[in-house]
Amino acid sequence: MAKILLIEDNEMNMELAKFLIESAGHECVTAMEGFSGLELAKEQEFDIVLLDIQLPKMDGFAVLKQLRKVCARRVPVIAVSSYAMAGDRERALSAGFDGYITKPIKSAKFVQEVMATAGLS
Amino acid sequence: VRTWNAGAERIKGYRADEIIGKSFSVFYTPESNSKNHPQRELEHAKKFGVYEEEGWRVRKDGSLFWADVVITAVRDGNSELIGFAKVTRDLTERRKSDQERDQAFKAAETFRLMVATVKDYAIFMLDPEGRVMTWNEGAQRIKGYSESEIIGKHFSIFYSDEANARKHPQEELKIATKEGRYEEEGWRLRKDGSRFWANVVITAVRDTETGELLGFAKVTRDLTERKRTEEEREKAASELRQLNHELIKANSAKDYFLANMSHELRTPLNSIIGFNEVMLLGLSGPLNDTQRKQAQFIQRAADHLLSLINDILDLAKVESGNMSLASIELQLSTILEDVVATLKPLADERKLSLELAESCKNNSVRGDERAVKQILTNLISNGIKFTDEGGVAVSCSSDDSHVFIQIKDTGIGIARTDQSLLFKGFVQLARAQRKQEGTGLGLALSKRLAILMNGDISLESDTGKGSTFTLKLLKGK
Repeated sequence: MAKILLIEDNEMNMELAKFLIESAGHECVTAMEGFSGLELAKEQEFDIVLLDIQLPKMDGFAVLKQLRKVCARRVPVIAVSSYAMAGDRERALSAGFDGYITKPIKSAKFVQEVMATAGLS
Repeated sequence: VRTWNAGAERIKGYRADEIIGKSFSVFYTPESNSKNHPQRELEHAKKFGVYEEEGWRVRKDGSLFWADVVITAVRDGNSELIGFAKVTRDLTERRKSDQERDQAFKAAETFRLMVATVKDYAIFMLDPEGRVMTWNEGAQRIKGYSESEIIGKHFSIFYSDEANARKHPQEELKIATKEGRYEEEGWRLRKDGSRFWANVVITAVRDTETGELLGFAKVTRDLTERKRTEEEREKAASELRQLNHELIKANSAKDYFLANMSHELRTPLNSIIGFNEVMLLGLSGPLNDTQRKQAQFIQRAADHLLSLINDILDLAKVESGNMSLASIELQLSTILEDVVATLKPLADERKLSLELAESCKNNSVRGDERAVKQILTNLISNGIKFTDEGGVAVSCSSDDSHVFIQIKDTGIGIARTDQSLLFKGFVQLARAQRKQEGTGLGLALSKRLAILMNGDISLESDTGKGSTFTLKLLKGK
């Protein structure tokens, strides 16, 4: 069982991912913006972080930078984003994300894809 | 001739022994003699005591000289005429210099007239202080002042208050005095206050011997028309730059809008598609048959909406020139096998064959993998959608420079009149009558993508005879 931090500002999309993660038997802790997500990352240890790119106040790229500073361990951070134009994935990967999953997600394969990307399957 | 002196010999060339005893008429031209001019001179002197004239006389060698002649009647104590005293001066040299002066004067006058009547240039003289000394027709035409109005006025009258405030006219004369010449282009004022763009050359005029400054020659041309043309050109260029700048701004605004649009549309679709799939997967409890069928409708509609969004955004991006595609070596058979494998279930569902010919093996092309995949998926899925019986066959061929991928279906075909509309994109959306699900943008997008990769898509079809789409791509190594 993996412990996953999910930072996602859209409530319904958060519920969807959380439901899929928990249905697969993993633990999911959620935050709706970067600052509270970073607080959680400081306090607890996570196996995977799922991070939306467009977030209020601080975007996913900025959150990623801070995560790398506050987490003692190099936790796999996967972008889950609605940005699906050419170049979006490449930009994220070169910024240091470990994976990039575009929305709409495939419910049947989502958790499997997350685990594989994080190297935990 | 009774007596002869050395002066007479020097002027006329005769020695005393040659001339004494001869009539003085030998000193006259044949023309004078034919008019009895010598005799008349004597008669005049006899009557009035003296005769004086200037005229041409003839030397011994036949050459002419200009003579001042005074003939005086000489009388004895009884007032009896005993002869004439004749004093002759050779004035040829003086006459010559008089003529030269006349000629020089005439030349100067001709030049003055020429300058005075020039209409295209204002040509005038300034005195050393800058007051107008002469004026010509061109000056009057260009500046509007008549000669009587302007002579004696300082030439600063042609300059704007601003130019005068910074003593520009005086500065020009200073430079002309120092350098010999001053040239510039600038705005000048006409009598009526209107501006004209002038080309001005001021030349210092000096006495050739003493070097004393006599004044300045000023030549002015009116280049307002040329200036206006230049200004208009510059204005047009500036407007074009501004427009270009706005276009770039608009274009980047459009890109920003497209990126956000894509994002905003996908965000709610994520919940719709995701939760619907959750239900279909039975993750939140089993569905009955009717619920399952209805959830499948939601899924189909949502997938369709997603492909619409993708096509619209892609096409908008291609049409705004912002689609950049890679040009790399691609294994065509790998891509084709992948696409065919993805679409096989759709063909199976419609009970159609989907065949990939052996000819497609070992072909490589140059292009962008995602774009090639997108085009092939579009063409093959179209073939499946618009065919009710038979199936779709994919085959390949090549020449020296290109690879041709043929997608042949046994479907309903496309009427020749509709074929030209097929690749038109947004235009086609409104006009085509489509029964099948599809964005109607797929072909337009595919064609543009193919062209961006230096390829093309062509069509051979007719109603009821099926369709063959040929994708042409650059051949790899």
